[in-house]
Amino acid sequence: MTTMVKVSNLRKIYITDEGTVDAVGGVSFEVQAGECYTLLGPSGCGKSTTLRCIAGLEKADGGEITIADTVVVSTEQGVAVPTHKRPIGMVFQSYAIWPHMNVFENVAFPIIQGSGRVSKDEARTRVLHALSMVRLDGLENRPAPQLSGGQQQRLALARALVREPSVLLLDEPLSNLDAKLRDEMRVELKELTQQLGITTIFVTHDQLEALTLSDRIAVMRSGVIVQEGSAEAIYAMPNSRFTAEFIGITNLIEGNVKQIDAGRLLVGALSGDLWCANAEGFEVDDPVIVAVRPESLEVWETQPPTSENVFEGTVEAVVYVGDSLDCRIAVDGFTLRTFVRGTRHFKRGDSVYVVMIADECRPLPVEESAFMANDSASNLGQPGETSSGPVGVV
Amino acid sequence: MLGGLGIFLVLLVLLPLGILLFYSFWSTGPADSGGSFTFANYTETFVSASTYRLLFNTLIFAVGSVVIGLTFGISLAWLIERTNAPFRNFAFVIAIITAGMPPLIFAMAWVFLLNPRTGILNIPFTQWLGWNEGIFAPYNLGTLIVVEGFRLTPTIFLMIVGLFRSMDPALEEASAASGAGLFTTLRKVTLPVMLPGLLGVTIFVGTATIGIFEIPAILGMPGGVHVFATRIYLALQQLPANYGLATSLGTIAAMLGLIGIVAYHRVTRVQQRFATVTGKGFRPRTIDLGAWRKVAGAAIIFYFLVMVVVPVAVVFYVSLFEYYRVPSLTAFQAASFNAYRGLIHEEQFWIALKNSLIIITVVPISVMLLSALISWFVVRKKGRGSGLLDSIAFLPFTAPSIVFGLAFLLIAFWIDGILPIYGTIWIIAIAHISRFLPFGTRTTNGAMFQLHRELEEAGAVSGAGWLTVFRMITLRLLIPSLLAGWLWVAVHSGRELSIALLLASTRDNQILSALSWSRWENGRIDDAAALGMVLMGIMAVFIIVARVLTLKLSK
Repeated sequence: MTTMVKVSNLRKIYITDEGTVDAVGGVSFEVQAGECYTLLGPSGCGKSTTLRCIAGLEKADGGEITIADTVVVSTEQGVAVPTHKRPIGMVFQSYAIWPHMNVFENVAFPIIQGSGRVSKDEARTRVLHALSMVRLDGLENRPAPQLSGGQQQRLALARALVREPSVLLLDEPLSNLDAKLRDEMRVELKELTQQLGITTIFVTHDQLEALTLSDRIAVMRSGVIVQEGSAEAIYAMPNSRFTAEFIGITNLIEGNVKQIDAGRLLVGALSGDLWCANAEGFEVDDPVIVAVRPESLEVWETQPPTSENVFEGTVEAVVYVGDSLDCRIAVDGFTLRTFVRGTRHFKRGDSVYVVMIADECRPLPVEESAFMANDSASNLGQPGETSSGPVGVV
Repeated sequence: MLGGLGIFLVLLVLLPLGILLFYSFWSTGPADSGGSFTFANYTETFVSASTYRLLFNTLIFAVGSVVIGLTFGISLAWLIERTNAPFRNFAFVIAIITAGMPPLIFAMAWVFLLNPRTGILNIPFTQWLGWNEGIFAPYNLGTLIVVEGFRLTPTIFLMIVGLFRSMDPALEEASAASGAGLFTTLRKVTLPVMLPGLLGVTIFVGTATIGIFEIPAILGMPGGVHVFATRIYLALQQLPANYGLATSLGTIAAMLGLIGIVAYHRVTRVQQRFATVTGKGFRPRTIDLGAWRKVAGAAIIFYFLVMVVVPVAVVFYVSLFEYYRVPSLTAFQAASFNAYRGLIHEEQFWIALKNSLIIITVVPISVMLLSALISWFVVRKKGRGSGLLDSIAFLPFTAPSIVFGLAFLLIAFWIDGILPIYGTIWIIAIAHISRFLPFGTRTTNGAMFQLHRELEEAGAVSGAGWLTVFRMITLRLLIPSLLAGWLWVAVHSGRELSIALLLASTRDNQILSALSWSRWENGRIDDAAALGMVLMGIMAVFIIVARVLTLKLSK
């Protein structure tokens, strides 16, 4: 595999009334050819700025960017290739469909007015091909403003692809669509990029988009990448409270390390003992936060057959969400959230046993929450979507 | 690029105003050699009691006419935007037609309406009651204020309609849903939300009124009522021309304008905080006027009569007689098109017509292209340099037209050796471009703000260079605004008189408005009126063409 995009120590400074702010504070990553790489983070984390630096729409204050073995930005060498000379295609959040042109003219613009001009006949072939790729065949003479939101989105994609760029840059392309259309486009986008094998850098604040579309994800916060890895790794093994809270729903339980045994960690928490996987980097007596996904909790009405990580609790609230029950269970004054199958019957005040699967309990170093309590709930998407495999036996 | 544009603007805007300032501190005029730095121009001006009279007149004139204009303008805008009054679209037609009416023509019409002995409105008193003089009199400050107030109404109306439209109707509906009645909503929601905008309109129009020349020249000067603009004109008409007085008064007027502009910017900054533009096309529910609907309709018709029918009819009537006659059956028997026939056989008329057409073509296109370029830097490339660019481009708004004429007159003396444009139509054209630049940049700044920057960025990521993007995307998307601005500048440039009054120094660079004025001054009122009719005819053609183009584009 070859590296298609390489970003080294990228910096972008904004000057505000209060002084300078590092919008991007030394970001480095490599994107392999054909890979879909996602920059994920809350608004203001620098992900869009990073993408715009790659596109050349923002001037980098430091670092180097290479696209297809050509240095396009190097503050050291004083290189800053203008946007229109970079081998890129980009889809914007607003789609930026030109309203004074029809569908054909919008898509043809890059190969008629852009740097890689082609003959009229070839342009026509390529435009029609691009339109058929995004399933807009037959609409080439339609005035662009008459397209629906989803169609405009696909048109923007066709326009970005028509010049066969080395890298496709997607800046929150799905965020302006309504929920249902977003689901469809997400699947379509994934199929299209995989089928074309095009290198893609995708910027989003939506964890679900990131998890479904990406080969690799970089989680960004305050201008730096805090974790990079595959979707599975990021979800299952967050390395910080921030990542754990930002992606998916997480129960965060505070405690202290009591014992380290064969790579496992025993944490004193919730007036009991909690075994966790992966003891790396911890010592006895360290304060620790244990992240437990809702699906790593089992809820029993009777005494479970194991004795490890079993806690007694009381059902505090139950919300029926169709395929599952969204349960809040109080254990020693602490509320745990989990999902159980919708066919089960719980009601408020029931006494239950909670088992936390030790292999799926992640100990994390203590840090301040990045979110307000309410914020985390609203940031974490639909409960029904993340609870694809509601755990719960009996 | 930014630097080049900056230098160009400095030459176009700062240099003329700088020269004006220079001569206000110089002991001799531009035609004389020598001279030295002096405060004498100002001390003489400030010692003279007539200066304070002038200042007082000018302020009373501006405040009074703006109050009248606001009263009519707001009422009309409310009727049209918020009620079911009849003839609503008609009010817009009136506003557009009156934009094409030169103030000179409007003022002339009122002279014939108000003349104490022969004025049409005084006829009932003089002819039927046998009084020596009727109750109306043209040459006093009160008349000046009322006529200018009428003239301002359509402009103010259009600006207020804009305010009404940019207000989210949901704000008023929420008030109604909270149990507030019509009047409470108007008082507690509509007006407070519009207040910064209203204040902006007031300051904007008031500043412009300080500099108006035509109305005070025709309705004030004969009665010895002077304002800044007419006093500057007289100072330059006397022999030898009093440049000291003219430049110091001009500088003071520009300073007053500057204060107005600073206030305007303060106010509109607040307004942006209130910005409630939703872009949704729906109109709020209209208030049913019931029985008052007929009254409202009559008011709109009356407004049409006063603003359009009467002035045009009077001026047309006057153009039919060598000497003014009180309208009667016998008078009509002597009517003829002799004035028009005479003009057609005059070479001077054709020169002025050609020059006016040059002005109306060259000035608006130059202003709008320059404005689009400036706005691009101001809105897209925020920074110290572009902010300065915006301020310089807006500066001409502060100075009255006559002061601009004076500034370019002074420049003409200086650059005659390098660029011999004195006495040609081009010095008038350049002065007009400088004068109308602020109106262009206001339009294009607003439009550029509306234009999502990603539309241009999409061009760049498609591989198109800056010029291609500017030409193929930015300009193309700005066309509706450019067209609106173009029409505005064309109409105002075509009817503009004061600049040409000072710069049309030879028979080769006369324009229609200035020619009409000089015939009026020489007592050839039929020629003056006929020239006014021709000018209005040209304006009408331009307005119709622009409307058709706009309609075609918006389809």
